[in-house]
Amino acid sequence: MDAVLFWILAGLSVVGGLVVITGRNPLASALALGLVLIAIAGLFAMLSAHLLFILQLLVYAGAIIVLIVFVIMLLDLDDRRLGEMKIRWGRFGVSAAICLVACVAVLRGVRGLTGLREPVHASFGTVTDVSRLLFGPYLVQFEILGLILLVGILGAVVLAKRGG
Amino acid sequence: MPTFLAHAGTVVLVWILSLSLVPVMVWFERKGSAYMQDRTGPNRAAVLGIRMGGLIHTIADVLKLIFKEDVTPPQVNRFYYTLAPFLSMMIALLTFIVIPIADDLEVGGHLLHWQGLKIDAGLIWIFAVTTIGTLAMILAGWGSNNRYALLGGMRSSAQMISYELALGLSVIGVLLVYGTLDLNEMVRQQGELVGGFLPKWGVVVQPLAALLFMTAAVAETNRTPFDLPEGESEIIGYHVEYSSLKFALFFMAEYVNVVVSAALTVTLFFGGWQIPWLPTPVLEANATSVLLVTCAGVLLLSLALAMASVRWSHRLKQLYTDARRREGDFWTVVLLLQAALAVLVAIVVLANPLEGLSSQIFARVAQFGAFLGKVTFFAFLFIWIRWTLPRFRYDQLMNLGWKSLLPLALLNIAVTAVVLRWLGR
Repeated sequence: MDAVLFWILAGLSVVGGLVVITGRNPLASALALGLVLIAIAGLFAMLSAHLLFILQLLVYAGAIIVLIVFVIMLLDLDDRRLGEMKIRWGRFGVSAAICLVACVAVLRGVRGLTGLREPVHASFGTVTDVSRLLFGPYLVQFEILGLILLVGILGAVVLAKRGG
Repeated sequence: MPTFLAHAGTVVLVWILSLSLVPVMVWFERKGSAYMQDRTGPNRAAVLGIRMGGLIHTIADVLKLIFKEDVTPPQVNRFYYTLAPFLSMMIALLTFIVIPIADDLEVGGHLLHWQGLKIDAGLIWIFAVTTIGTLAMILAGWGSNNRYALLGGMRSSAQMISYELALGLSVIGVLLVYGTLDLNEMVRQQGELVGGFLPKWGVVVQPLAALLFMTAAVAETNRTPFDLPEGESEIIGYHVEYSSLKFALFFMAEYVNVVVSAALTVTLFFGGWQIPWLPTPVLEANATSVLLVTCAGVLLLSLALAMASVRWSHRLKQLYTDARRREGDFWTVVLLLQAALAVLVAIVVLANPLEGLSSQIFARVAQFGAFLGKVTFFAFLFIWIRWTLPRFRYDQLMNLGWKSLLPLALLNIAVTAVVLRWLGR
């Protein structure tokens, strides 16, 4: 059951990823990206990271994809403006090969780490557990992130006002 | 595997529940609006002369929608155009599965959750899924390849995104009070009492949040006074190019969304499956007497209604000469059968009082009944609001969302946090 689910989700994310980079229509790419993000959310759920699963759906599959789709629709791209799409297979192959090598290297590195094989404790990935981490050891980083987001929002408002 | 089956069963049960409330909602809408506007409403469709106060008309509605020609305009982007109504329906059904419909039940070492998706972040799940729902409207508007539909889609997604903020922030005060995101745990805490006599319902401890939440929830379901996304007759909405069953799917999703909003309002602010003053242990201990009181109530009500029905039947027979004559008799028989059933149940229960598992099961059924009753009431309330208030203008809508609801929700969070700190929690 688990293996079947894993292969379905992994397959969906790979196929979706291919559609994202090869699709000519930007909206199709955006929706395929949504599919990839939902499949990855499913993988998170299988790793018993429940909160991460829901946040992935909320932030990425929900908010970010809606934002991207909004922008694409407002740009009103028609076929003429999109032009011909050429996939440069040489570059594509080289970058794919580099990515593959990098992934294998990272995976080998991760496998070498100790303590990964132990089963996670029962409360792993729950709201309580993640919150303890966020507001305990990582409090400073968490607050700094919040500050950066605030600065980003202010920047967006300033830019929007200047444009208008 | 048994737990998996139990979960799957609960999901199916919840879906059947939300879908079977849709015709009831349509009936509320048509008959309720008729009475509010001093009309009679649908009163013609009948099966063997039985009209059930217009409820049968819903069947006629559905048949009409199924057999209408399904026109796909030539200019649409077929894939997105078809995807949108299905996505919208799927999202509506997915939201419901985290809502608990009764307390947990332990049978033979297995803990059965009356909740399709038992998850400790249930509330975030609802927000996560509804955010994706916005996508369905955008896709419908864009896929229709029609400027009016596109503008409608834009308008509706802007409204959904704006009111989602108010909706999310109004809930945070409730979270602070209950200290959990788990919907079932929240409902369990609402079984306690405040000051010895008031149930600790969300609306008692967080009245402002309840008001804000319900306002934002009406906006999220795109109903009047916030029905700018649709505005069927004047400002054209995102589903202008849809016909037949695809159009029906949008409306079905809307009604399911209304039911979900009502269920969420009930779960967060009106005690969910809790029967006031009867928390689960008390209910289980007194199962027999509660059931007997229920039977007595049903008996008296059915007899009173049967008497009214006899008089009505007399009038019908003077009025009509066709099959409609029979409707009064039909109801009299149904009500008398119901009374007899109540007596039968009472006799059986008096002979073998409920105890152990049977009292536990009765408690769950009673809680489910309480939940269903509350949800139906709030679903009706949303329809009541729709036929009472006029529609907002777009700028008024945005002002209300961003300049009133949002600051009030933030204020509610600050005040709740200070009060909780002061109470020492």
